[in-house]
Amino acid sequence: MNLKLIMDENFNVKIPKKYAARLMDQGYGFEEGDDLRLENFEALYLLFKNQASIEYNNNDLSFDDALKYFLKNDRRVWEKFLVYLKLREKNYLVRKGYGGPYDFLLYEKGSSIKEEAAKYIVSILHEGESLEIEKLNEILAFAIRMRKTMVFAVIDSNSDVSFYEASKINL
Amino acid sequence: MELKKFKLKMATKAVYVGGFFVILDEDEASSLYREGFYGRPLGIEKPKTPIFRSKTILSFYEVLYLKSSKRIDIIDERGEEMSDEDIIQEAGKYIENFEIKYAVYKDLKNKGFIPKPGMKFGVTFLVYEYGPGIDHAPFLVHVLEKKEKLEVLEILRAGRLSHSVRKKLVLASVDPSELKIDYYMFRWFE
Repeated sequence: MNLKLIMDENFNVKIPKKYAARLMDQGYGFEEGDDLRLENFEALYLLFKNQASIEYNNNDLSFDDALKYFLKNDRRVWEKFLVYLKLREKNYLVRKGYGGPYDFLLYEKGSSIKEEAAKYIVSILHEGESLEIEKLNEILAFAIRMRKTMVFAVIDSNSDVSFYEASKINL
Repeated sequence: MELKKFKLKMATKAVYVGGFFVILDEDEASSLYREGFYGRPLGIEKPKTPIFRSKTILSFYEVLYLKSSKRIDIIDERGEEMSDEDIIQEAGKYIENFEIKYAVYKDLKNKGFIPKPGMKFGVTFLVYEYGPGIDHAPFLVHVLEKKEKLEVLEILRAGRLSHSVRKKLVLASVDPSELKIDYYMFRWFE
């Protein structure tokens, strides 16, 4: 069934909770009163997969239009969508991360979001980008404090995404 | 007389010939290889057994390490003995950031590993747990200076390389002021 999402004037996307049980089970959004509020990349993904439509001012948005609106709020929405899409296609349960460099939380395949904690933190990097070793240290230390494994999602110039697990080790 | 002979046997002689250190005495070469897989036997690609008759070539790392434990003496072309400083200076002509890389070599040795040159894989060291010809899963160690930024390409390379050659790749980051070393591992994730 096609879900009806609604976008408000601040480009926030919501759906009444009573229609969103399946989405909630699959790790989408967060509860806000009677609504489930979706992240922009989640809404884009559902639109892309033809699982939902997004209504704005009584019109259904095209994918392109939705992207244009979302970019106004978050310049990184496209790369988040790319990585999110790839992870969902690998059948992972994915949730929004902690912000900053911690873009997503990833659950072990086949686990239940209600019962288990996320196993990985995913951070997006670009192929041409560089990462200071101090920063890498900081990110890995944070992941350890959160008891999670750090995964970098590297986007190359063709928008291909590859994933690398990173850890600090003692030899 | 006996004492002198004993002393001579303690330190093996290696000759420095423009970028290379050669142990000419084949018995001593083989014995040094048996001790810790030091050197590369000339004309034997992968020695199946540590007993061979061949001259060996030592790397700058091996030379400095063995020299600091007084296991070898180095003689240059003119027959003069080379000091540690001479060796480090020479190494600098051939190897970028030699001292930083040597710090990692020493750390790996002190941890009981056997590091060999990793150039074939585009990294600093190929590291064995037991020794070449014995363990078949050496890992790769690439050395970086701590202040360097880790190019994301480096991560890509690390992950892809370890995936394609099925060897673990470890990045060693060295803080040059205190020669403190941190090791990081990147693994292909699906």
